[in-house]
Amino acid sequence: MSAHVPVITLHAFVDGELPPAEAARLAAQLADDPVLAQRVAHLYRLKAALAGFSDDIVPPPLPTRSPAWFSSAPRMLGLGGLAAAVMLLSWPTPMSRPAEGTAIPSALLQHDLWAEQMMGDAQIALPQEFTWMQPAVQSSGLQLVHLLQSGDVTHLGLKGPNRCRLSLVVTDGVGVGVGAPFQMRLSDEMQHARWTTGGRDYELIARDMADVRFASFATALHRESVDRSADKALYLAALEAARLPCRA
Amino acid sequence: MLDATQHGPLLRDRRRLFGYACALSADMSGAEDLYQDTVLRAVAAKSVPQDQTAYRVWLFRIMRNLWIDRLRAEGRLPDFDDSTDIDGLSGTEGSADQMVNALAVRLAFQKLSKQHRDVLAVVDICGFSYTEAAEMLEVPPGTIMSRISRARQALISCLNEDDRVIALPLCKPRRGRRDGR
Repeated sequence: MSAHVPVITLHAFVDGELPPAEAARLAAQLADDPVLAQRVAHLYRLKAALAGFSDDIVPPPLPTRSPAWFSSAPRMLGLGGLAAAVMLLSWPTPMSRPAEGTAIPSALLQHDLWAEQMMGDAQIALPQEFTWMQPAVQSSGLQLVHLLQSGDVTHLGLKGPNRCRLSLVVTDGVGVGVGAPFQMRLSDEMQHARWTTGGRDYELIARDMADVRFASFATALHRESVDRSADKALYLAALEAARLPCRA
Repeated sequence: MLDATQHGPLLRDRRRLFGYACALSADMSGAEDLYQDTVLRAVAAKSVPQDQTAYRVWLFRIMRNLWIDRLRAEGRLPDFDDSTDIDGLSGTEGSADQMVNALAVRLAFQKLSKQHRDVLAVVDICGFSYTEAAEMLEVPPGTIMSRISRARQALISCLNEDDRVIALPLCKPRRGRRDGR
């Protein structure tokens, strides 16, 4: 028959929460008491079953409706190559600077999560609703390798040469009448562009792309999302000219 | 505002954070909402704990507070009853040659009361120590100890009551035995 050990003590033992001396006494007791040892073993199994709970579930994408913007100081857009690329595209894009002093966009977390896990390496076809992006993607030397749709949010992961990665996070249902100007931010930590058109919110994020290349691609994508009938020849040429290697 | 140092723990803990959301919520949709709201709240915070352990407690506490707020709004806030005599609880832990089926344990877990799920999730799913759990739940460590004991005993009772989900034998049944337990 087992010596009486309070139930609460057994649970604390299983959780590693007993003081060392008391844990040692109980361990010695377990060695001499198979019935008590079975009870403790069963508690360990219960604990292990719950501890594995998180390993078997996949968290949903991190939220993309960012509360605010990333706060790091942007590099000014006066970079020669960048200015040239934007001018070449000659798209009447109203650019505005995001609000200062606020937080990181959550789409960036989503991008980092994908890039960190290196999910998806094989090329996949653009979904039907995004085939309009194909010329810009192809001319930029990018490939779609990751696609995750959850509710109104679609995360497209694009891979370029030298393992550079770029995310486009598209959120549907923002209201057809809602239009936000094209915003772009280039800093040492990331490249980020955002705009809203046709009831969709677009966020483009990269960490290590050459600024010119990112700006060219973002501008081209913005242009296409707003007017898919526009003449593509000019910006496709610009994109091909801007195929610079990633900084990483 | 999150910097790179705090960004890491959020990403590292996302599975456990979502696991906690699943443990607290009645359904997957509710868990996803709770998870996403928690991340948004954390990302939007103007100041966050610098210490990694404190950051974890802070992050999971955000989720728990959101959960409690929702329950309160729905008028379903549970009472946390710490008055039961723990030594009066059953000490049966099931048959020795019975393998604990993880799926069965999780099904049984979902049948527990909110307060039992809460404390078990904090310690077993999220991996907090009693001291950290006490800080998170704002109770003394001794209360965590007794709540854990009650919750696990309730889990055991729940498993023992449902033969359909637990009866995975550890060994092949011996001849002559009428069942595998």
